[in-house]
Amino acid sequence: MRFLRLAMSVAMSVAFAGSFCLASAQAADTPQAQPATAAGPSSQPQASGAMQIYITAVSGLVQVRDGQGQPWRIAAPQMLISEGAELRTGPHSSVTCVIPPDQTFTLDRLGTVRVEEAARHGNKITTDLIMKYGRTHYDIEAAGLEHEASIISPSSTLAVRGTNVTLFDQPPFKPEAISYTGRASFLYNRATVSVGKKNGAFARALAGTNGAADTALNETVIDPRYAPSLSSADQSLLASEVARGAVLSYDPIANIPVVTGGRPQYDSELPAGLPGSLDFVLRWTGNADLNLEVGLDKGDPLINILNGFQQGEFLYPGYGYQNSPSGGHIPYDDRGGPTGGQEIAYWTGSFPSGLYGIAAQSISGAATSFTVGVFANGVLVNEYYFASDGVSLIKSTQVTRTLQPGQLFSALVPIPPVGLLEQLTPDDPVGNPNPGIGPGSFNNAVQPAAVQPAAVQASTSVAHPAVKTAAQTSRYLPTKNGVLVRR
Amino acid sequence: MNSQLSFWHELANRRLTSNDDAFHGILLDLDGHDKCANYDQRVAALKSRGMLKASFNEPADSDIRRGTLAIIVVKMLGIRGGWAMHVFGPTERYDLREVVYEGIFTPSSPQQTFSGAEFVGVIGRVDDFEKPVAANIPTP
Repeated sequence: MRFLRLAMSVAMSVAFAGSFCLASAQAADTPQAQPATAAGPSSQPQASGAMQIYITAVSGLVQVRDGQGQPWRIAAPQMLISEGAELRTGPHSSVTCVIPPDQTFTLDRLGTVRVEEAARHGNKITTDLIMKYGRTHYDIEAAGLEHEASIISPSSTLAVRGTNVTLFDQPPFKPEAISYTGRASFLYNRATVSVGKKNGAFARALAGTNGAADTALNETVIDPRYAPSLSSADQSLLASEVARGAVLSYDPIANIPVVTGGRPQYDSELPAGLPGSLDFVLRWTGNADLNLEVGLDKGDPLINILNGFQQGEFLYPGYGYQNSPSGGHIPYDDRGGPTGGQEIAYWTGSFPSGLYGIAAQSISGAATSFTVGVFANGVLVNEYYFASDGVSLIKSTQVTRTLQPGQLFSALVPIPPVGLLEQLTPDDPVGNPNPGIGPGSFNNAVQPAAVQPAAVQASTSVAHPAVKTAAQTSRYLPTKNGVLVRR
Repeated sequence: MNSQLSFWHELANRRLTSNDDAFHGILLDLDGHDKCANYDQRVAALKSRGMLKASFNEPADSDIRRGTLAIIVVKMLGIRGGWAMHVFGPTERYDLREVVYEGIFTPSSPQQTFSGAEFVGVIGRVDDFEKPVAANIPTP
C-alpha cells in the first residue's frame, strides 16, 4: 500500500503541459540578378552591341524617357527606344515593346520599368529589365539564340529562359512569378525556386514559398467545420453539440474546432452519444472554460503504478496535441458558456493498455462543478484520486468536484482495471459513482437547452443548429433518472 | 496626361497617402480626369456618388484610412458582399473584410493607413478586378 501511495503521489504530481510557439518573420532583401541561359543552334547573323527596342502597342496613359533625368514624353507605337529607356504607365494602361528578333515585354497598369541592358554579343543576347513596381510580362521565343534575361524588382528577380512569364511586385502585396510556358527561376529573400517546367502549363509562385505547388497548397482552404473534412465520429459529436445549443467556430492558432455555449450531456445521455471504445468525458455546469488533458503510460497498469507514472502520450485540445500516436483524439475545444460545456477524448477500435492520467484544468471563468467519467467499451471504470484530505486514495467510476479558477484536478485510470487495486482502495465517501449531471444540476439564471437523446443521435449536420430556448425547455419534465419526457 | 502620370508615380514615392491625394486618385481612376478644383469639391463629388458617408469631415491632409477607402472601393466595383454587408450597409469593418477577401487589400484594420506605394498598388488591384490583365498577356 505504501508503494501504491508512493506511485500515486508521483503520478498525481505529473504535470501536463505543452509548449507552443508561433514565429514568422520575413525580411525583404535586394538580391542580385541570377540570369538563366537558354542555348540553341545559331540561326541569326552575328552582330554585337546595344539593341534597339520598338514600342509596338500602347493602351491608355504611357510615357517614356530616354534615361534618368531626361524629360518624359508620350509613348506611341513604332517609337524606337534603346538601353536605359524608362517606361511608366497609368491606371488601365499598358505598353508592349519588342526587342528583335524574339523578345517581347509588356508593362501593365501603374508600373514603371527601365531597360537596363539590351545587348547582343555574338550569338548571345543579354537583357535586364529593372521594374521599380508593377507587373511585367516577358516572352522569349528562344529560337536559335542564347538568352540571358531577367526582370529585377526591389525585392525579387525572375531569371528567364526561353519562356513566357510574368513578374508582379507592388506593395502591399507579396511579389509573385507566373510561368505560362517553360521554366523560370524566381529569386526572393536569398532563396531561388523554379517556376514552371519545359512544355509545362500555368504555374504561379508567391514570394516566400517553395514554388508553385507550395503556393497552391497554401492557398487551398478546407473549412475544418465542413462535414467532409471531419471523421464521421467527429461529425456526429459536433452535430450533437450544436443540437444542444452550442455554436461552432475554428481557432486557427490552436488549430482546432471550437465549441461555445450549449450544455453538457446529462448522465442519462451517456454513453449512448459517445464515439469511441474508450472515452474520457469532462463535463461542467458553470460559466467557465475547462480543458481536458489525458496522459498515457503504456504497459501493464499495475507495473506502471509501482514504477510511477511515466507519461508517454499526451492529449490536449489544440496546438497539435489533439491526436496521439496510438489513435487518441480530442475533436474540439469547448470554451464553455453560461450552462457549462463538455470535452471528450476518445480512442476508436482497440485502445492501448496502460495507466491513463486524466486532468481537468480551469482555463478561465468562475468556479464550477465538474464531472469526469471514463467509459471503456461503454462501461464506466474506476478512477483513483486523492480524497479532500489530500492523503487518502479513493476511487469512483464518476468523479464530481468543484474546480476553482486556475486549479487542476487529476486522477489515474488503469486500463484494464486492476482487481487488486479495486479491492484495496475504498470507495469515495460521496458515493461510487458520484452524482453526475442532470437537468437539475444548473443553478444559473440561464437554463440549459434540452434535446431528446434520440434527436441528438439522429443529427448528422452541423449546418442548421437546433437551438432550444428556455421556453422550449419548459415543455419537458425530467424523470427521476434524468430522462426528459414531454409534459 | 503628363500631370496624371506624374501624380501617380510621385505618389508611389511618398510615405503616406492623404485624403486629398486618395480622392484625387479615385476620381482619376473612375473618370480618367478630376475636374474638382479643391478637396471640398472632391469630397462633395464622392458623397454625391455614395462613396463617402454624409458625415465624413476629415481634413484634406490627414492620412486616408483603409476603412474609408474600402467603402469607396466596394462602391466602385459594385461588390455585393455577404450577409453582413446586406444587413448593415456600407461599414468600414465589413467592406474592408470584403475587399481583403477579394484580394484587393491585404489583411489589415480599418484604422490603418496607406503609404503612397501601397495606395498605388491597391488601385492597381482595383484595375485588375475590373480587367484582370493587359490584352496581350495570357490568362491562365
